[in-house]
Amino acid sequence: MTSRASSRSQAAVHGRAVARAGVTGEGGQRQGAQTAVEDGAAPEGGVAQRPPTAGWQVTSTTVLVATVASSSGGPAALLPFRDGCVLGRLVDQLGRHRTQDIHVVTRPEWEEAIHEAVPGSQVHLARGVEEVFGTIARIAETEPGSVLLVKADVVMHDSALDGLLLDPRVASGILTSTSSRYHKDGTGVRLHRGRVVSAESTYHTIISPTAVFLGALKLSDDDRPALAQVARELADLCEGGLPELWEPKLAAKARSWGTGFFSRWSAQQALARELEQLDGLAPWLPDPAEIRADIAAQFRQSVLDRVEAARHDAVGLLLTGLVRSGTALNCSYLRSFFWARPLSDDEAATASLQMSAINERQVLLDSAVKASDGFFTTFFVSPYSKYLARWAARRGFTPNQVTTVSMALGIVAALAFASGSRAGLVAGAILLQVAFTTDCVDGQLARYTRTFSKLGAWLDSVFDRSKEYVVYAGLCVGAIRAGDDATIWALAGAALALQVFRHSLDFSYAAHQHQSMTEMERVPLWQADERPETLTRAWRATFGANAADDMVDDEAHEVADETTLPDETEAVAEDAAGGVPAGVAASPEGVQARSEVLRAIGRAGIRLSVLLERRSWMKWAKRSLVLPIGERFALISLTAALAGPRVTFTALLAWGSVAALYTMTGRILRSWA
Amino acid sequence: MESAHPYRDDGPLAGLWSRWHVGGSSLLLMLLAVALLFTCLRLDGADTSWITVGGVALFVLAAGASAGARPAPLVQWLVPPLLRISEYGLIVWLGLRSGTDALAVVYGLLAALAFHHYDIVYRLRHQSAPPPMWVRSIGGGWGLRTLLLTFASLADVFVPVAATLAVWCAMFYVAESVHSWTKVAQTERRNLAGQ
Repeated sequence: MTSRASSRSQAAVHGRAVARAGVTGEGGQRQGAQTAVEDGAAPEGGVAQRPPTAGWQVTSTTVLVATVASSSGGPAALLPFRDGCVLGRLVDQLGRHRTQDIHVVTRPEWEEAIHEAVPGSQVHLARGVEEVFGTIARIAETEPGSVLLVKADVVMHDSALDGLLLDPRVASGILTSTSSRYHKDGTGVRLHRGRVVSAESTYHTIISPTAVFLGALKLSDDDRPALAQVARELADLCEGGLPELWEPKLAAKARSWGTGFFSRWSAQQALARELEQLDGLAPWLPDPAEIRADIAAQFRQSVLDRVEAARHDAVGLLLTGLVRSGTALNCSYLRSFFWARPLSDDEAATASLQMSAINERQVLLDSAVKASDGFFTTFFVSPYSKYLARWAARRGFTPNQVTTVSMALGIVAALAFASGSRAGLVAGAILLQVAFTTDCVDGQLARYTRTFSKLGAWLDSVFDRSKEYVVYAGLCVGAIRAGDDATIWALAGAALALQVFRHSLDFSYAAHQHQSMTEMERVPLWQADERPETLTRAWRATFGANAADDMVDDEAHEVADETTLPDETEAVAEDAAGGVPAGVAASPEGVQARSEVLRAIGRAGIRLSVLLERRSWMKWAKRSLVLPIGERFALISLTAALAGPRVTFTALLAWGSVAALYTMTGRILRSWA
Repeated sequence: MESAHPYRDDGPLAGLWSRWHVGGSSLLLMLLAVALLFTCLRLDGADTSWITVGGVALFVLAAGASAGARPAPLVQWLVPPLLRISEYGLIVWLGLRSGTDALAVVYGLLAALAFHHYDIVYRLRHQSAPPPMWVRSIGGGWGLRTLLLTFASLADVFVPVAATLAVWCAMFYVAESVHSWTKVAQTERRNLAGQ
C-alpha cells in the first residue's frame, strides 16, 4: 500500500551532506561563509550522525565518462565547481557510497589533467566515441559485480544518487526526472510503471517521452553481460562513421535547441534596444551594438556546445541500446534535489548558486512522503507524519521498530474492539488510527533515513494485512459479546475475501503488464526511430497517459512510485496509466475485427476517464473511490465507533464491491484500448 | 502472463493441468467454472448434496483446464483473482450451511489461505522466487482444498476438517515464510556489515 514503506531504503545520510544542505538555504551571497561551515557544522538531526551504510547491493565498478568538452575546449568534467571541480565532487560523492573501483574514460589529450584531479582512479583513453564503447565493453567483460555508469560532467546534491545506489528494488536502473526543466540537458525516456520502456539518445528519437534521463545508469551483475554486448554492438556501429539514419536526427535536434534559445535571445535583444535609446543619456553604459553581438555569440556558442556534447554522449547511446535489447531498467527519481550539466565556467557558477538556494534536508524530508497515496493519507496523515518520521530519526529508531510498534498498536486496537462495549469500540477506533499513522511513519522514516531493506518492505506489507484482518476478528468477537449472533463471522469472512480479491486484481494486473512489456518487439539500434507499429501504443501513451490508473491502492505500487516526490505526482500518476501495451501483438487475424470493436470501446473508456480528471477534486475522488488503505481504516474506525461491527462490515462490503467493479471495468477497458 | 502462473496457487495438480490443453481461452474456461460453481451452489438446498459436489468437481475441472489453455489475449490477468474469489466464496458458503459454529473456523481458514496468497506475491516481488514447491503442494492448492472441504460438508464433518486444514496450512505457510525471510534478513545484515 501506500505509503508505508514498501520500500525501505536506507540511506546513509552522511553528516557532511546534511550539514551542507542545512546551511545553504540562504542563497548565493553567503557562499563564502557556507563553505567554511560545511565541514565543521554539527548537524541537528540524528540522521546525520549515522555512518554511511551500504545498501543491499554495493556498486562495485563505476565508470565515469569524461569525453565531453566545455566551451573553452577543455574537459567539461574539470570545470571549476565550489572548491574543486565537477569530477572531483562526483568522485567524493561516490566515495560516500563506498564505490570501490572508479574508472574514468577520457580523451588522450586530457589524460594528465584528469589524473591530477582524481589521483586514485584508473584512467582509460578513448579517441572517439567508438573507443569509449570499446573501453566500456572491456570493463563490463572483465570487472565483477554491478556497474554504475555516470556522465562525468554532472553536478547534483549528494542525496540525488542515494535512491539509485541504495534501493535494493532498483537492481538495474537510471536516475530520472519528470520535470521539464531538464529537457535541454538530458535525453528523453518514456516510463511505464517505473520502468524504462523507450529511450532517446543523441541519434535516436522516441514518441512522447515522459521523463528525462539524467546521466546515471546502474546495472546489476546479472545485466552486466548485456551492457558488454550493447557496448560492443555500438562500437561496431560507430566504427568508420555513423549509420546513415543517425546524423539527420542530431541536425533536427540542434535546430530545435536553436529555436529554444532564440526565444530567450530575442528577449535580451529587446533589452539591448532599450539600452540603445538610452545611449548618449548614459555614457557609462557599454555600446549596445557590442552587447547585441555579445549575446548573439553567447547563444550561438551555447547551442554549438550542446551539439558537440551530444556527439560525445556515449552513456545516452548505451541506455538506448540497453532498453532496445530488452534489459529491464527501473527508475530512481531525482525529486526536488538539484541536478545540472554545466558546459562552461559561467554555467558552472550559475549551477553553484542555484544549488545553494535549495535546502537539501527539507527536500529529503518532503520527499519521504509518497506521492501516490490516497486522499485520506495525503491530507490527514502525511502532513504531520513526516515530522514524526523526523523525530523518530533523531531518536535513532529504525523503520522496522516503528513497523513493529504499529502492528502492536493494531493488536491492542483489535483487543479493544473485542471488548464489545461502546467505550471499547471508540478506543479501538482511535488506536487503529494511531496504528495507521505509525504505519505511515515507518515508510517515511525509511525514505528519510534512506534505510531500504527487503525485510522491512516485507514486514511492512505483511503487518499491514495482518493488522486489518486481526481487527476484523476483534470486531467479530466484540459483536458476539455484545449480543450479536455468530453470522457476523461470515460478514467478516466476506469482507476479507473481497479485500483479497481486490488486492489480487492489483497484483495480477501489474504482473501481466510487466510480462507484456518484456514481450515487446525489439527495434535494431541502427534505426533512429521507434517503429511505426508502435504508433498504436503511442496513442495510449498520449491518451492513456492522462487517465491516471486506479492503482493508488495498497500493494500495487511498483518501485518507482514509492520513491516519488510531491512535485512529480502528476507525472507519476500519468506514468502509471501510460504507455504500454497489453501484449497486443499476439491477436490472430480471425479476431481482428472483434478486437477493433473492443479497442474502440476501450479508447472511449479512457477518454471518459481523462474527462473525469479535469479537476483536481475529481482526481482525488477517483482515488478515494477505490478504497485505499487510508480510507479503509478511516471507514472502519468511524463506523465501528459510531455504529457497530455489523455496520462496519456492511460498509466495507458495499464500498469494496463498488471499488472492485470500478477498478475491474477500468482495467479491462485499458487492456482493450 | 503464462497461464500456469504461481499466482494461481495450483498446488500438486499444477503439473497435470498445465499439460492438459483444452480448446477455448483460459479466461472463458475460468468464467465457465465460476458460473458452474455458482449455479450448483444456488440449486442445492440448505444442506450439501451431490449437486454441490458435482458443481465443485466441474469447477475444479474447468478452472484446472484454464491453466493449460490459450491465454486470453488482453485480459488474462483476471484469472487468478477469479480463482481467489471462487475458493474463498465457496468456503464461506459451505460454512454458512454448516451452522453458526463453523463461521469463526471459516474466518481462521480464510486468514491462513490469505497469508499464503499474499506470501506468493511478496516472495516473487522481493525474493524473485515463489515459495518452494513443497510448501505450495502441502496446502493442496485451491483444487484439492475445495474438493476436500466439499466432501467434508457432504459428510457433515465440515467444522473439524476446516479447523484441521486451517491449522495445518497456517503452520506450514507461516513457518516456511518466516524461515525464508530470516535468511533474507541475515544476508542483508551481512551485506551491511561486511562491505
